[in-house]
Amino acid sequence: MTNTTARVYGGDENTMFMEFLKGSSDAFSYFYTFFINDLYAYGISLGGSEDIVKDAIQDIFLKIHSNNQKKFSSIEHLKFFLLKSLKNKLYNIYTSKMVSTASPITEEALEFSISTTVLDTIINEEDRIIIQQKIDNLLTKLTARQKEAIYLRFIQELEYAEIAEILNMTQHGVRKLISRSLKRLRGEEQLLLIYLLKHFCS
Amino acid sequence: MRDNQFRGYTVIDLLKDEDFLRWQLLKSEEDALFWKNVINRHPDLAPIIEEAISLYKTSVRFNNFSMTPAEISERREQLQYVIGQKKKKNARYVMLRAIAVAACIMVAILPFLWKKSEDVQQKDITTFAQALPEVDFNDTDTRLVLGEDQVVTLHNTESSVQYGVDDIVADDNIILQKEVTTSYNQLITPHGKRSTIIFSDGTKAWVNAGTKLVYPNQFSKENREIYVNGEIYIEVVEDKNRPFIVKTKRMDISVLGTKFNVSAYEVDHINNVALLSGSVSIASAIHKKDVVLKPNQLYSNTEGTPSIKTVDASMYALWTQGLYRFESEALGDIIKRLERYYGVKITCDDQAAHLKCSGKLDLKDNLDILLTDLTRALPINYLKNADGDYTIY
Repeated sequence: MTNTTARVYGGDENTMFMEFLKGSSDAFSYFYTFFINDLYAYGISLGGSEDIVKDAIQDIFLKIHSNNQKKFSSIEHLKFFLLKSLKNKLYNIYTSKMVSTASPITEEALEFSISTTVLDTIINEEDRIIIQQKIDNLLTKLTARQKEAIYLRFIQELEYAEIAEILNMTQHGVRKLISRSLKRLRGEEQLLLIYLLKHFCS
Repeated sequence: MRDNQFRGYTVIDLLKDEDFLRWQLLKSEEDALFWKNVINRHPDLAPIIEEAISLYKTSVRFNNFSMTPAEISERREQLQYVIGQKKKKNARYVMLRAIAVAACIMVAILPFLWKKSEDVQQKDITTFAQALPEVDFNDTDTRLVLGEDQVVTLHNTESSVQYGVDDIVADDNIILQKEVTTSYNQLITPHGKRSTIIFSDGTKAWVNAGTKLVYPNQFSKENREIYVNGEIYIEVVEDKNRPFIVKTKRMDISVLGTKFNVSAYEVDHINNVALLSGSVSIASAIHKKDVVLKPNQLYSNTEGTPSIKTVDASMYALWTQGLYRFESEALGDIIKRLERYYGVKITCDDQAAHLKCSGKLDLKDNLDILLTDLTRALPINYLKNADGDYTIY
């Protein structure tokens, strides 16, 4: 259980991807359906409104279709491209809206948030609520950027290099961001701070 | 170690445990190691932990936003429809564009089709060159004018300009040519300076002092045309499909591949063409038929009167090597050349100007030495004035 848990796509997807590269419209529809909810969820998590996110997704797929479908090296690459394009698109939409309402453009234009859902499987409702609260408690300790990095890394399973590009920082920066998150969740950061304070005040 | 507390934990207990959740959330190696140790100490917990992991995977969702399958398929169909429309539109667009291009070509070639019988080549470069404002050849620097507004100043006494595939090297400057559209460039070599230019086809021209050369930044597919006011010695690279045409105010010289010297200063009384090798054809308003020159023939246009005589043509290109040979030439004409070459003003009294002389001058010499030599060979004297001008009497 290391940090490198890139998703391996099944045979069906790989065959479809070969067709996709050839420009097959069936394969195009297949990957549209395959990725649309990942994109939708990411867009909503960035604070986009439902309608805007849905339209943005259509635009991105349209663009992929009219540009060269051949340029993608792998399914992972396609997914990364879709997520990144969606974020850029939303960023452009929201920043241009902010300009028109004369409020300042901030990085927080697309602040990432994570909400937890515990599905109704075999866990009873009472326990579900507690589990959800516990997870939310952990997540509230993180900054928006840390949340986004973790989401992209462990939920969407992107590579560090890809996350770096989406977050507009270095790979090293992403690794640091994630290791900081771990420290925060462990409460180590606070302990270190107390230690330093004690050390220097004595 | 607090792993003792996990004794008797159920799957749900684990799912409520912060350490377990953090492990699932961040999948760090430290946490993985911690739980491996827990399993080592309490092997009975192994299946429970495993089940907790799988339950976490199936039950916990982050940002669980999704569109309904019905909406997804509806949107997918919408997208396919838009793509289909776009394809149709593109096909229509390509057609329209083809028609538009064809129309443009027609409009562009119509005047040529119309006036085919007239001298088509008399158009463009000559018109362009003669519409240019007068140049002050007393400037100190050679200037390379690119298109309409880009001027490159060259400080060397002998500058070199070379046209590459997409760049121009002018002395130490490298200029990238961004424009693909045809425009005219100018190389203006003032008095006292010389330059060489190599065109993109490899043709090389030596440009004498006080010369303006006009040429397109790219030769067309049909011909290679340049316009000269002044003197050049040119070695044309042969291209059977594209004749090279040197245009001047009083004559046009068409060649395929040759070496010849053109002296066509618009201010001069005599313009001439000296052919070193190959063949050239000269068109001029002063004769109906084109004149075809053979090697070592000199074509002259003396105030509107054409003449051809046999000469040692290489003499006429000696200036490119800094030498000047002349045979029974009027001193006045020689002085004019020296004025240009050295970029100074020499006034010559009328009587002296009509003296005919032959000889050779080394133009690499200082002008004072050169004039002293002349005073020895001819019954003349010279004065150097305070302002640097010379007077011959």
